Amino acid sequence: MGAQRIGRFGTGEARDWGEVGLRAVVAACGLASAWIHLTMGGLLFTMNAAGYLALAVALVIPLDLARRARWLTRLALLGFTSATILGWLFMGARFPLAYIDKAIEVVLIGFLLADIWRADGPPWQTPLRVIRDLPFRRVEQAKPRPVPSSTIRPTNADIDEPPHRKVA
Amino acid sequence: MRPTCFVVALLGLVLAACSSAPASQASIPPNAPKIEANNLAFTTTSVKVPAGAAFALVFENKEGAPHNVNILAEPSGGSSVFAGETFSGPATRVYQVPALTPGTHQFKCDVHPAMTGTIVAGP
Repeated sequence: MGAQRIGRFGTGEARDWGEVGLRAVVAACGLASAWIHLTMGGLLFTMNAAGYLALAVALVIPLDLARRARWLTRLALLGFTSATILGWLFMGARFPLAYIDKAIEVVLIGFLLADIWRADGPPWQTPLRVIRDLPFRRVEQAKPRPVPSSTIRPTNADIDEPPHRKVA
Repeated sequence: MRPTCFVVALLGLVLAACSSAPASQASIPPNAPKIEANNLAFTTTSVKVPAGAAFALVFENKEGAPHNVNILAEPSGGSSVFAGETFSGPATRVYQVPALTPGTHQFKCDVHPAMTGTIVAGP
């Protein structure tokens, strides 16, 4: 299947089926990891599960606010998953379910990086793009610049012609 | 591989891994010391075992959350002397624990470090 366009560029919507697939895998991995952490019990694991669930939902939910913040959701999920893996490396228990969960999280990060690259471009350019797209900067750019009066040339509509010269 | 197939395979793997295995009931000694876990706590908080000799320790996990018994060298922690297998319940495992030095040892769950108890090794 080719890269069929199914959304709008720059709106956070998936642009082709490849991107839909990437995002589906990322969301599925996030939900799987959320479920695993939920079964572990305890406040820390439950909070971790809630974080995965919220980010996975925010990644795919078709709401305008979520669409506009997709880039942030992707970066947040990347940071959250990395922190979870690092936390496990430093103080986590080693048992089969934990290894399976870490494998899922590594897969999640791989697909998420691909999704970030496809949707937002190279990750190292994201901070610059974020600064460029800040709301107050957009307002500044949209504001018309004052034009010096000496450069304004009168148009035909501005010339007050005598009534008898006007053509009916 | 199509993304859908991958997701299905992945979720299948997770479900297969998370399904609880049948409890290991093989050769549970009748008078073996036993530790139970439920509601994210050890319901047996203190247990007596023989010192200087290997022994069998029965660990019953009564809930779905994974737990194990990790026996530490000191009453307040220290290095691990024996770490039992971590498993989800409800299930029972029989750990073969090496000989402990006489005295009090702390045991804890590796997954939930707040779950602790004491093992008293004596004559």
